[in-house]
Amino acid sequence: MEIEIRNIYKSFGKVHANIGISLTIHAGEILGVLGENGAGKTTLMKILAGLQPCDSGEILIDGKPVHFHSANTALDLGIGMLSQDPLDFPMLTIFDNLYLGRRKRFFIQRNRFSKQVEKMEDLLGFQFKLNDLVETLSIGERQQLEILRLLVYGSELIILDEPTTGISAQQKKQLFELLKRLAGFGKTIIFVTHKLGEINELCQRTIILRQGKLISDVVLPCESSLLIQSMFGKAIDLQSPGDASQFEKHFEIQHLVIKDARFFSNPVDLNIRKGEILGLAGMEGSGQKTFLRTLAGLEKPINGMFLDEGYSLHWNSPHSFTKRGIYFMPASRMEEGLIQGMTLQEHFILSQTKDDFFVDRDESHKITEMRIREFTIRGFSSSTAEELSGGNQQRLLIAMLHENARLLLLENPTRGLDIESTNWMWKKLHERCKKGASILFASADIDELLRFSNRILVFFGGRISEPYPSQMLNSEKLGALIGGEGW
Amino acid sequence: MQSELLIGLAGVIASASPIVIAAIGETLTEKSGMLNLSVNGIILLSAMSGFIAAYDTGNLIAGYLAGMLTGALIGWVLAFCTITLNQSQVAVGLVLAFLCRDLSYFLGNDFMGFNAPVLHSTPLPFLSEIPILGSLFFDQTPMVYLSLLSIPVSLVWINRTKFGLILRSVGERPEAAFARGINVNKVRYLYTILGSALVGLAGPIYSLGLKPGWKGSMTGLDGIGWIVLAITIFGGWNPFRVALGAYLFELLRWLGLVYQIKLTGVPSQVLQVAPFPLMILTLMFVNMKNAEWFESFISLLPPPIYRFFSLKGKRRKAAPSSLGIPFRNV
Ligand SMILES: Nc1ncnc2c1ncn2[C@@H]1O[C@H](COP(=O)(O)OP(=O)(O)O)[C@@H](O)[C@H]1O
Ligand SMILES: [Mg+2]
Repeated sequence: MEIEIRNIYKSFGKVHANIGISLTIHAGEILGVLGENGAGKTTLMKILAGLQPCDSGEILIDGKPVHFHSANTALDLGIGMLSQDPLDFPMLTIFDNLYLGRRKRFFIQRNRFSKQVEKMEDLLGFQFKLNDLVETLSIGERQQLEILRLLVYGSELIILDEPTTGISAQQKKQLFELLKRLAGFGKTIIFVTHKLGEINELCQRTIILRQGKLISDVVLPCESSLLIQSMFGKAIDLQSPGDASQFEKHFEIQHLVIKDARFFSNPVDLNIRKGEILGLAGMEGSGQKTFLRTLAGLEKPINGMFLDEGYSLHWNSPHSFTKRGIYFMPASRMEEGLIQGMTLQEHFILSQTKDDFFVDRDESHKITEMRIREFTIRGFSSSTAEELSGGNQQRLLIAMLHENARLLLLENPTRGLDIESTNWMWKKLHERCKKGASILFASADIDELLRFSNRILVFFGGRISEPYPSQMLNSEKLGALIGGEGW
Repeated sequence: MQSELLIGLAGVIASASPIVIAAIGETLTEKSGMLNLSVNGIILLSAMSGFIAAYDTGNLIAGYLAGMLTGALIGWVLAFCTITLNQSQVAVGLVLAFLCRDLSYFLGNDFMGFNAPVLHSTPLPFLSEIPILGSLFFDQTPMVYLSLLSIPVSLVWINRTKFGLILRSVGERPEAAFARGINVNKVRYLYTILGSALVGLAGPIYSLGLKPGWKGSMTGLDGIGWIVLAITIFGGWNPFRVALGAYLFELLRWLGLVYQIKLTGVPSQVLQVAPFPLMILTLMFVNMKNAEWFESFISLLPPPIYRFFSLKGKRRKAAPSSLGIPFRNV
């Protein structure tokens, strides 16, 4: 089966997720799809698997144009996809889960289908208890189950979207062996990932997507530096902010082990100095968010101490964290940061940690007006949060951070902002640093990390690196670390 | 004495029949992830419309069909407002519940006190001669037979057929069902309409049989729908347990009536209201099976009894994971 994709375009509102992508996939090959988060990989794969219509473009199978009306049409033509999170049914039995979707008979054909499944299981070396619930399986086993399902349905092309994210090294090895075996049977595999190492290990060819465009189509093996170059674009060398090691010690983290949905981290020891900016690098979901939320007292770590000038903070009370001047600013502005339907003034009232029972309307109005002017927010004290544009919502969040904040924990503070707002934002943050505040910020933007941080922590699949002084890094090195290489 | 008890129990089975059918209808709807809170209104409105249809045509079947059609229509309105117009299932359901109730009083006003045909019992040949069982189950009206039949049919439908599997998948994880090529919102439309039609059948079962006639707010049907909703939840979305809940509820009501005569010292209101809290307590007890301490307690019992009660390794009686959550595909 040869599949040709021609000139695929897809946008979500203003976001161009796929811009004119063309590609040919040959039978029996393992094709890599590499790109950083948000590059458009998942979008392209969903289009290919019939899960999402494209705006324009064509898909040809063996030279014939095809139209997918639903995932079933694609599956009928032999294209199956394993989603980033397994799209299965934890509350159903493994049998039901395999059976669902493709059978024509009215009554469920238990025995006949079980035999069919067993035959395929033998071929792949799986052993599932068909009457168990899917929720009893591990993520790795659920992946195997999905692969089994696609094969039982006769898929010729199997697309795996970031399948190595939640599984152990052992399971990853098994998965790779399985995929190579399947390719040996003549199945075509598309392997989507943002991890460089995996591409060289598994694939014969890879395409690289960046910001919705197909940047290059490379035969493997090949130099990592070349892949990084394509993945992240040309490096802009900027002056790094320099050494902060002689600054005064401020906060201290000892043996901190954080728990994410998928992993426990290694223990982290870290000194945070006054006026220092620490960048947290890594693909989204590698633990940065949990790290920040933990330091804000919003999540309990497995283990570890957090000392503020020698005083040990209690993990169980977020309020005591804010009292000591530790503030967290979430990435999702409307979901976690701001409250829909509440006015700017009400936001400022809430953000003050005063314990007064009654609200002093006049004073809070004055404060609000002052902040609106100081932070040039385009809005009024009576505007509601959702009436503001994204950039102005971000300004509001920054304005709400308390004057005497000592540690700011910022999750993707400049995501979705235009250049002007980004620069403004960093100007404001630097002012805070001069007053002695320390900043930890997570970002997906390598240039931003290198440009503004004194030191950088890299997160990768639950591992947290030692802090790298940013002068020691450049965009290639950092890109490799984020991609899991050079650890 | 024996026969008095039998007659009483047969009466319980008969008077539970509309609740069984309505609760199974609601179970089917909720299995698809749709929450239909308008049950109470549908029962009243369809009791009224079924009564008028049967009165006008002199035909019972027309009455039942009118009731089901009324239910289906309300189900469609709910599906349209929540799926197509993207409104809250809770808000629309509640509004419909009260709207339909008042509408039934208003529209039925001119038909109060009229006489429509009434469904009589049809003993089944041979089966009704079986001692005890015969008079309990097989000397009843066709609607009672239908309610009894609806239990195994819905069980087989949900657990043994392709369509039941699709239904469960849509209520559990719609985005995964969509990825398998299932038209999630179409399935939800269908089961909302089907389930509401079954709820709508409960109305005429009352107004053309159990509580013949239409007497507006005096008909005494207001409130049944809320019980149906509670039974659906406590029955763990399993038709068999749901039906048991319905029988239990009517049994308690009957005992209340019986003891009202015997226990003259107790105010009659107490016995009339007692089934409701008793029902809740019993169902809570049934649901304790999900608790750890219950599991360790019953493990002390002899194995056969333990096995009957134990839920270990069996499917949990949890709500459909996506109940009340809209599905949108981009
Ligand atoms: N359903 C959607 N609605 C709006 N934007 C979307 C949607 N899906 C993806 N996007 C946007 O399209 C871009 C590409 O996303 P995606 O294909 O998921 O990237 P990748 O899989 O490479 O991380 C991102 O900017 C993302 O925010
Ligand atoms: Mg993706």
